[in-house]
Amino acid sequence: MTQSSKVNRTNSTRARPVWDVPLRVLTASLGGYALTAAATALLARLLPGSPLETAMAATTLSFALFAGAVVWTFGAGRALVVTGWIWGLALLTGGLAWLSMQAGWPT
Amino acid sequence: MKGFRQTQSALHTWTGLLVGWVLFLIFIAGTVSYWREEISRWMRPELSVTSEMRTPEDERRMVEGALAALAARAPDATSWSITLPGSRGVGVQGVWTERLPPGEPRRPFRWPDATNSLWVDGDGQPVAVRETRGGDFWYRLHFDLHYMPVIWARWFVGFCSMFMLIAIVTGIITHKKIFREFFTFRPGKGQRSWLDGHNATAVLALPFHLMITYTGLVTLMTLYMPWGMLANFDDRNAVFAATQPNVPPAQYAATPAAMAPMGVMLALARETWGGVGPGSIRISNPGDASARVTLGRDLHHSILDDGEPLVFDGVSGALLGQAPAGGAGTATRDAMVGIHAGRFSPITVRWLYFLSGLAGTVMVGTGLVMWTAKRREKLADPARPHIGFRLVERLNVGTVAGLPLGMVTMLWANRLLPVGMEGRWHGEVNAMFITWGLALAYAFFRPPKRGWVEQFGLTGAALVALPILDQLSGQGMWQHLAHGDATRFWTDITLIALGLSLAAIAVKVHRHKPRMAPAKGRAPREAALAVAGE
Repeated sequence: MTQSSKVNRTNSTRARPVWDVPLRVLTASLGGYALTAAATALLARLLPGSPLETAMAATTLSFALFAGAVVWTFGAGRALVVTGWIWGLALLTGGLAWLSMQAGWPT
Repeated sequence: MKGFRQTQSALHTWTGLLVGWVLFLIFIAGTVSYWREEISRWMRPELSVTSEMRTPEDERRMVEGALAALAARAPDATSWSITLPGSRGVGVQGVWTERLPPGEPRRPFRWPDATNSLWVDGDGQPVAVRETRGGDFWYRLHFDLHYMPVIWARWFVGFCSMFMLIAIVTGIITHKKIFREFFTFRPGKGQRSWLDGHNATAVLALPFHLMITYTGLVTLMTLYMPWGMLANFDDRNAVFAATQPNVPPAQYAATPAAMAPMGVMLALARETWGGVGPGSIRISNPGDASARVTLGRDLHHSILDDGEPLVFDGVSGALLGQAPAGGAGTATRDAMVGIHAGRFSPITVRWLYFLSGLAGTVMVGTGLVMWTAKRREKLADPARPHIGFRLVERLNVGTVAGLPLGMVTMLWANRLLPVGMEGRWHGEVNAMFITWGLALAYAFFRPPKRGWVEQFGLTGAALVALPILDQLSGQGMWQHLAHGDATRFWTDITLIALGLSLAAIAVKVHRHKPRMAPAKGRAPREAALAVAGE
């Protein structure tokens, strides 16, 4: 822990590129919303129960997902990497939700 | 993870500042809305304690009185809506929507005013009541704002609430020693005291802040996050239909028909809801063969914010349908909304809600002040702060002290505007915003310290003077005691207590002598005066 934190400290004391904070702001807001929307849709598809109940449950959970995504985006070591993760996961969950709607499965 | 807490701290500072002033408005308006019914009562002095609704017999008499008054005033309406007072309010309000000639475009929505609504008292008789939105205005303000389309307002409020949620979560991460900090209060130590005050109000009511922010987002979740719904339904209308009684809408028959007696429907509803009566009644196409009556449960008796509507045929009185029974997801959602609005809460819990809300308001206020307190010591030239610093400083005075001044002005306008004035409720609301605007402008012309003292002092004095004004006009606390109107009596006591608290803050700020800041290459006295903002 101490070893790695020293390494990280040297990294973060090096001047951050000018686009670091703007990229994180964009990723946290737009990317965070996109990931939350896609994950909420996927949860609504996959949770057991009637369409209304699963949609309600997934949506009540969504703001916690959003907050988690924002905290992660600003806490992560490198802006580019976390941007890739957020948008990658958004595409993945969104794609799965879309497939589930097209296939009419599980409901 | 070096830097994690630092990045969270920065995120906390900037998310907090960016939306702080709006959050202050949302918090203060939401907090006073826990006394929505009591404020409405205060603002409608024409309805006395005798217009409370205590028994099913009161309910039947007052509802039938409202129906008769609506039939006399607006026989040819497309709908009548009746709002019952519940256990805390007074009087029954009836609102109608006029039937327009075919082909005429729909008129824009109007809140109940002198031209589309009426009141009946405890005897079921129509009574003239001054036109006001009462406590409903601040309730709506805290998510619909004002002077703008509600959809924009709700998105903006949701945006700020999401910032608030982030600020709370990052605040917890920043203050991981949060419980030790809670017991740390260092009064009279400048920036330290603001920090401790911010932490104390934040931590004391932390579960409340987290709850109220999250459940606030949940109240409008189908607007902000419709994607889960749209994954399972064709559109929003389909979602809404799934939660409502499955009764197809009735086509206007243009055939007059006698209405079924309301008493039978009220009794059946009370039986269905396990002894709880209705909170709202809506009648579409009243007096027509196609009439429908929808009863919604009084929400003051359950933690679930679910009206469980019942739909009756208005002519035969037959029950046509009721809302489908919800499952775990719906119940969770309804419970979150119910906990947010606190409609279920008895008076003790209601006070806790109010005090927690006040703590939240103070948390946002001290957080905003702290932004300047932290930066003041680091200013290159404290006597002449940069423009951004000055802007934040003045906006703080004009909002944290100026908005309460505006709100009190609205209560004064409620008493002073002519009772029969046209567009009266708009006058009350405009008085609030004009005063707030003046307070903001004034804050830019005064040294910040003077601004705090004057605006808090004036607000405090205006609050204390309100019950005195009422007493001089012969409808004051003495009369409330004599008539046994405990609600009005305690409302006046609360106004006085709030006024005295604000006056005490003003005195405290006035007497505050800034510490001599340690001289770091600049004259101590100059630096100290800069700390005081003089």
